Amino acid sequence: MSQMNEKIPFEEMKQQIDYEHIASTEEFKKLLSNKKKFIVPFTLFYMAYSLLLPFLALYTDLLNQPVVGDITFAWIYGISFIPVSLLVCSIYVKKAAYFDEKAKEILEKEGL
Amino acid sequence: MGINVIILFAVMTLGTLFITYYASKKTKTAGSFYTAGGGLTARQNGLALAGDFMSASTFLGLIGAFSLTGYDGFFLMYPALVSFLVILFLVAEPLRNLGKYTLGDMVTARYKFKQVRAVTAINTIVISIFYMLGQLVAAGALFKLLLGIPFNVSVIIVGIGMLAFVLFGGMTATSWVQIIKAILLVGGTFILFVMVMWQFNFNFIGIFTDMKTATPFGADFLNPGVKYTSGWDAASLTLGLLLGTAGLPHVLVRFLTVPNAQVARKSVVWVMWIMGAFHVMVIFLGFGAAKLVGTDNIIEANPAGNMAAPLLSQLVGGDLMFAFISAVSFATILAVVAGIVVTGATAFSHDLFNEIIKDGKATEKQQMNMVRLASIIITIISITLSLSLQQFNVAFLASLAFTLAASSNLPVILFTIYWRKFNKTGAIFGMLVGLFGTLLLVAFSPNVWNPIPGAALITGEPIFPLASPGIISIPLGFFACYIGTLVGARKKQIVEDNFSEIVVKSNTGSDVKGVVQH
Repeated sequence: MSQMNEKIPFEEMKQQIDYEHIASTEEFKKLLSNKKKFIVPFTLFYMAYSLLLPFLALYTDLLNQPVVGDITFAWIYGISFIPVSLLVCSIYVKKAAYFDEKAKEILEKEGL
Repeated sequence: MGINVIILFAVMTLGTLFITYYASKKTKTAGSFYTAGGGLTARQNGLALAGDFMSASTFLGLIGAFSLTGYDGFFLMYPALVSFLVILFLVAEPLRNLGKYTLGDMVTARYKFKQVRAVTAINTIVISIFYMLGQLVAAGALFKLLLGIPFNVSVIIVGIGMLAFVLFGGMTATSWVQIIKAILLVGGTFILFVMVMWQFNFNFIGIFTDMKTATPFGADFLNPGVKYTSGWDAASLTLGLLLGTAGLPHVLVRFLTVPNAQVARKSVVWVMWIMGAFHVMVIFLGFGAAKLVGTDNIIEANPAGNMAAPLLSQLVGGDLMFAFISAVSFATILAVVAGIVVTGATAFSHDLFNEIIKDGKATEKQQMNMVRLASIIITIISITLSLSLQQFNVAFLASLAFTLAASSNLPVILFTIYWRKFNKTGAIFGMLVGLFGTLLLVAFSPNVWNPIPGAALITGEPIFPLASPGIISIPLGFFACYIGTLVGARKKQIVEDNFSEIVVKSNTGSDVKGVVQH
């Protein structure tokens, strides 16, 4: 069982940056927990939204009611993935810019 | 085959060769071969990613699926779009912040053991070959139909064409071919879309009414259940596609071709908008094909519906449009398989050869030779396998690659970034169980077993009832990681825990100087 040879620059960097310290700061912990509060519910939402369709569509008649002309709820649901995904994507991008800002603040505070 | 087709194919081939020539001048180092030097912009990478995704099986397959199975086409389509949310939320940024050239780099950033790297690399190669088989077999069948070239010859032509890009231009050429092809494909689809909707007077609501009488399914065409009867089977397929993208090596490696996490994020935004627009058009093109070309003609040309789009283009746009769509489909297959070969060969050369055999001390020249050799070997293996598989319906191979990726790569990727207690044993065990578990389930599934003689590899009742094993194999992969971790935790720690480093780097990434420099 051989350990990988770490290259020298990596070794140097490790001495410069105290990751344990950064990870233990209140700001960093807060950043992680904020990220988690954002990512987990959204991930659960789009996963559930995706996995619900096969069951609703194939085991119930709920989606077979027409909405406009001959377009049924099933088609609305199917097509809705496009706007819904794009919406979730833009929400993420906005939120991520905020997280970037926070991460930068933490690193600046540590003098990096 | 008309003169138009030949001219367009020639233009396409010359164009891609020119790109390859230009890229080959830039591809001097192994780094530029592996990941195009990490210098792509968000728009370039977004287009290249969209290109990776809009493979022949997506473009031809989805239009075919909507034209032949109506509503059930959705089960193949929407998970692809949502899968980029999985990548965006969970994988893209940490991967960019931790990885350098391969997935192996990212996983070994945490577990500095050669075994972990070796298993990751082998996993990458296996998944890549499965994905490529589906593409090559589709390519062979397609050119047989489009150009009347025999299957074997088509597969070999595609193989050689692809190898030319890869050998000379590496990831740079592959990315550029992918970008140009994505523009041509989206552009061509848009022109076709306008032409088709013209025939329906741009009546997007009325076209649904037309569909009720257009196919042998009658009004049922608009309802779910034409192809899939089991919600579990459809959900299993959906889950595999949804999570598989985030584990597919040739998709993941795309996030290493950009300079930082912000660009990686923006490239996902690009790919999602492109695919969203593409998906809207695909639905109506499927309808158009069903109504204008007719179900019987589509099935007669190819039972899987792969010819729906080319036939439709011929009908509404004449021979020139047909030639254009065929040529773009050809470029699509070439570009997609080239991307997969680069990924597999990089795993071989960078992970197995340089980092494991040579302890990271191989010279640039040795690595370049090795990656080219690996490209040739992977191409030969894939061509040989696809030639011997041609008489079987292998449409499931690509979706199998997705499920393999979701069951073996994704659990390890997620736990590496997000779970402090995860360890080396968990990573190795999880990957192997995910890989072999999926393969075993497929070996016992209706894809391989069929009571009707000749319909599948083996005649008999399938032991495992679902065609897509995802709903079992994906949780199995996660569970195996967990069990492996428990087993590994009982052994003495050999290296110090560096999860803090991983978590800081993956969350702050490129702002830390020197972390991810190419």
